[in-house]
Amino acid sequence: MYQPYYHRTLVTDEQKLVNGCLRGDRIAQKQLFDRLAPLMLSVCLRYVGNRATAEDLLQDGFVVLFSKLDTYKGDGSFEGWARKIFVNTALMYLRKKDALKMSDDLENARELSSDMTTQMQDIGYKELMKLITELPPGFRTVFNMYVIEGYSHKEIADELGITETTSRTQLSRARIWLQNKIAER
Amino acid sequence: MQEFDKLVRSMMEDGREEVPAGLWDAVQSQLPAAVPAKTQRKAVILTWTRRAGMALAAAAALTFGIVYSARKPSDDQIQIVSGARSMVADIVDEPVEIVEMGTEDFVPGEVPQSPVKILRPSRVQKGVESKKEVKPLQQESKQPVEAASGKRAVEEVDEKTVTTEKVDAVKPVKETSESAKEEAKKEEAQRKLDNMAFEDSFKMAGKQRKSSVYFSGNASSNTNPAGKGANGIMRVPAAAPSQTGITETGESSFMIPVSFGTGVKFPLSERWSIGIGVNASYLGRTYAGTYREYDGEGIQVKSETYSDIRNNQFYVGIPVNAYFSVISNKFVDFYVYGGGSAEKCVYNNNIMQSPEGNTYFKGQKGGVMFSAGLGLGCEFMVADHLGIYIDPSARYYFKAKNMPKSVRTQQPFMAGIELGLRVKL
Repeated sequence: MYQPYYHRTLVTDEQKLVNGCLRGDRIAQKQLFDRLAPLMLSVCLRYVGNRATAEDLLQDGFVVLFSKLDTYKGDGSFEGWARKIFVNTALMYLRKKDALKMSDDLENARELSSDMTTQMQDIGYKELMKLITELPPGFRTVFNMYVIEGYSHKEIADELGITETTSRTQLSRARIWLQNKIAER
Repeated sequence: MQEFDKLVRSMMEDGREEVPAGLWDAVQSQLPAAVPAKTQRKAVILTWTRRAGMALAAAAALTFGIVYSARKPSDDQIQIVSGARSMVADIVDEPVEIVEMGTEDFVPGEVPQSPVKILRPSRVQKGVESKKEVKPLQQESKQPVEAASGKRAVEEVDEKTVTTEKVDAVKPVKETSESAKEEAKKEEAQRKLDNMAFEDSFKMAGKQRKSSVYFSGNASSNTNPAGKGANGIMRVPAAAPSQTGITETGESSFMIPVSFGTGVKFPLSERWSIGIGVNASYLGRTYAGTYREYDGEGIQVKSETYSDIRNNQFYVGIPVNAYFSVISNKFVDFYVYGGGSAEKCVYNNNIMQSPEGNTYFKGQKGGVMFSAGLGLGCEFMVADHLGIYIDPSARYYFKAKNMPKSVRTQQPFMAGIELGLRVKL
């Protein structure tokens, strides 16, 4: 019989999990997938706006993640490192689809001066996600990269092949559009 | 950053979506086949053992050939004649004359007047026991046959049987030359030294075979058998929730099994010996596993951890072997041996490592594990009572009930090398 005569409260060890994945341990890979998939599906959905496409990108992203797992050096959080992979996967898809040409435009809206805190408290994650996915691809991409992923305008410009000014403009317009949509609820 | 941005980020950054079932299967199908890195070492670990075994076998064969060819068996080797035998030894090259002497002419104590001739060697069948009463040329005390003065065998040439008498009273035969006899004696002595019969040397070595105490160390091959994978859940005792325990989630990486022991070797005959002893063996392995702790009702998972787990097992065993000496002399003994062993696990522990500290789980010990093996051996005498031996062997471990998982249960057929010292008592 097995008798744990020394036991502490245990937490999942992320590094051990990564090590198991590097060894090709399928169980460890499944565990990592279970941990990251819901989060990364949200990332993909935010960028492409379409659930079926987001699931395809999630699949592609995990294949890339496992293939590049040995490049993770442990500096920075593993989740942040994984998130970048899925963002790049989504961006590659959008470039392929020419969805970043910024051809679509947002309807002009007046920037709201009122505090959005109250309105934001009433809106939930799913509703906000729905609103974000309704943004045109170009605006949605800039908004996601700047507001949620934390890219700078310069990084966005380099990544998308636009100018920093365009990035700032797109962000501002996307922000106003969302605020108005939230206020209209 | 604007307040709006912060609010949006706080809501969306950790957002989660429901992942449809089957998506993992689609991902898994695109991943390369699971090839744990540690299994790539299996050939490396085994290679040195196989190469060492092959080199040892070659060295043993070479030793066998050298030792075997070093002996000089020859047709004219001296046969040690026991007192009970009366084989005619063919040692005398010099022809001698036989003297016919009638019994009526022989008076004990009286010196015969006529010369006595000794039967020519050519008329004596080598190695054939004469039907006629023939007195050996040597004395009864197994001395080499020699044409000593005053002593000779007299045999009648014709069909008459001549009673052989003690020759003290008989006048010494007229020999061809004294120098020839001396030379024959010297040749006999030299021949005895140089052309010692193989059986004689073996008899000598066999007479020197004594009981001995041995001290040994053993290492076995480890092919890091793969493919066994997760094989069940290890449970904590009944006091804890039934679902709590460790689940093996990956393949095991086995360490090279090592043993140390001591024992005694008894000679049964000139070639056969038997050895019995006691040994201690260590078996270790590392595997990936998940420990889950459930609540008291066994429903909710209280904690879960995934980690590499180290398993340590110690066995105590009694090996019994029979040895057959193939080649043996004063300096080297080349033999084959076979036997069996009964071993019992006395310690089985699993160590799960985590940043918060290690967790230890005792494992089941199972019953007695039996094994059988065959091998070759070579012992080199480095001192009068001290020998160094090396025994490559192959061993098979029989299945036993409830045995803890180890390299022996996963790879029952193993090759190994034993090195040790034997101290002759």
